[in-house]
Amino acid sequence: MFSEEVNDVRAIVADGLAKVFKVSQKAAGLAAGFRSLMSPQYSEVRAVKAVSFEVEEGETLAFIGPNGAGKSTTIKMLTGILYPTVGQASVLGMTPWRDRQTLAHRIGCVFGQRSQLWYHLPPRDTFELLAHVYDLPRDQFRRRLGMLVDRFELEPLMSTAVRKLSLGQRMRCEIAASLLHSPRVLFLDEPTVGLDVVARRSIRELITEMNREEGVTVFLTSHDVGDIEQVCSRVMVINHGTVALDTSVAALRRDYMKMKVVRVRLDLGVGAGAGGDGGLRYGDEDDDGNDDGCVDGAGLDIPGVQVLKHKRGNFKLQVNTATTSIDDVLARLMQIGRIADITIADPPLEQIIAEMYAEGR
Amino acid sequence: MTGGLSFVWEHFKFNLASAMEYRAGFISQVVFMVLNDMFLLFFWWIVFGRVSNVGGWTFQDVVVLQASMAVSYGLSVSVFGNTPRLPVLIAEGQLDYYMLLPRDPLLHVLVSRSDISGIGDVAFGVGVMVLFGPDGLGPLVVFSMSAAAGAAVFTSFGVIAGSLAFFIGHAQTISQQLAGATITFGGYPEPLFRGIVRVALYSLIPAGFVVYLPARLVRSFDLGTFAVLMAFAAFAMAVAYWMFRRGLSRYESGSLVGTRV
Repeated sequence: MFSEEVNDVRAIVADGLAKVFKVSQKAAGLAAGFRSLMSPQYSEVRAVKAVSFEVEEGETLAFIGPNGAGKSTTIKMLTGILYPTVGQASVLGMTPWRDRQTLAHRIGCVFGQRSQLWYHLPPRDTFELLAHVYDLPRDQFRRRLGMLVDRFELEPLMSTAVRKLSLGQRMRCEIAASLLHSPRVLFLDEPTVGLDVVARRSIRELITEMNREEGVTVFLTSHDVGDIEQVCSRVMVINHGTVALDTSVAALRRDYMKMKVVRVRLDLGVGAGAGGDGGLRYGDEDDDGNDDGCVDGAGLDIPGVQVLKHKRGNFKLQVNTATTSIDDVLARLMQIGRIADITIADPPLEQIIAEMYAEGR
Repeated sequence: MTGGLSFVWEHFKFNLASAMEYRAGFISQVVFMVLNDMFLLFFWWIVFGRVSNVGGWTFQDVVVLQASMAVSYGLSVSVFGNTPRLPVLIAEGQLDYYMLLPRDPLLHVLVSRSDISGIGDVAFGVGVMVLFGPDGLGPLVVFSMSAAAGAAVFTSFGVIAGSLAFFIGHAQTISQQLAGATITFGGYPEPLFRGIVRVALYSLIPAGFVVYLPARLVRSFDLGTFAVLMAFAAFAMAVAYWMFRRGLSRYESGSLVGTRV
């Protein structure tokens, strides 16, 4: 896997990468505390177990998994923050933990929950400082910053203290800061966490643009299915420290992201009962006769649609889009009444992963 | 070397600019530290009103002592302001940011924060040296170089104590006690301490190198003593750097949410 190759197109190679943490064990209580003091007990936590994969230059990879799966530990080994217990890795031909400082010139990192911007100063000041940190020639820095300011629409934010920026504005600055030195690989750890819909879309578009126009390899972790669908072409699922699935986003969408959760509020009094032959009616109760918000699906006999909850015009439906399109479901609901409000969401990533495991993947 | 100094200077400027965002807080921190140091000197002024010397030291010697302590400590906490926080940063896994940038992580982490009250210490030290210290430019030059070496020793011992966090997890108490002991012992004339305590002040607790030798050099310059001070400062920095690098391979990171202030 580590053989010398001319014009190697692999940006990242992980070969049997594993990390074991030694964790002290102590029962609750003061007595246990004293016992632990005299005779400490340790256990080993295998955060990452022999992970192997390759990422080509210019590829956009979503590295996903539930909390504690080993995502961040893997990223930290690939960026040189952590030494692996065993295994090898190469990022842009360098060993991250040995060539960390050299590698830092060629990679960019964004951690959604940790800021690299100086909180009390405007972003312009952080960019200036980063130019010193990266030893960027003045002219190169000015050109690059000008381009990023235009592209990320940062001009109105440049002189405002970071503490006064919204989370979305701050994250645009964070990503621009990580791209200041023109990295070849961009590691993004939950870049859209906590952002609203508009800010999330903006961040995704910017990442996609930088990948398309500069060929930056994107290695992204997220709990947001939208990030994966809209930014990445490939997805790798890690769970319990091992790679559970490595496939294209198109395949993931086809196989696992076909389920949508639709929440609808129908306007009471308008069209109630119209065309409801055998269908769902306002105020219908569960089969058990109790209006407790839970039904077993009786009443809305559309194939691929399961009624998860309903209560006085408010419905929560799970739609299998492989069987029935969202359009068909809406058309059917509109026969029953006027739609006052609707949201369509992907199921949580954890649920998708749980389904993968349920199917024995 | 020049790149390193420029890097330190750029960070100091940013820390200063960041602190100045809160004008009243900035001014009050500096002014109150100057006042605090002046009260200590006032205490010694009262003492020397009753006795002519303390272990052979005059009031002017104590002025030099206090000035050396203030400038060494002030330089350390204002330029390398993350030194006292190093054990917490290590234990809480907050070194990630520094390890992702193409700079030496130890220098970077130390200069990324500034305790602005240290500027008050430096202003006090320089001010009393000019007003009450020995006459002439020579003692001021020696004072500046010795205080810089003292700051290097103080910072290095802080790094050594802080780096213990890589090995034992919690090292903040040790780090605080070491800094506290250095400041406490460094505030009194050296002749008051003899025997094992004197040995400790030139080894475990670096007050001898942070304060006593700089003060002795200003009172009476001696090339041999100056060389010892400089050599020890270089040795302490080397040990601190080695210890931090050794510890870094054991670093376990963390998942704490954080911002840079």
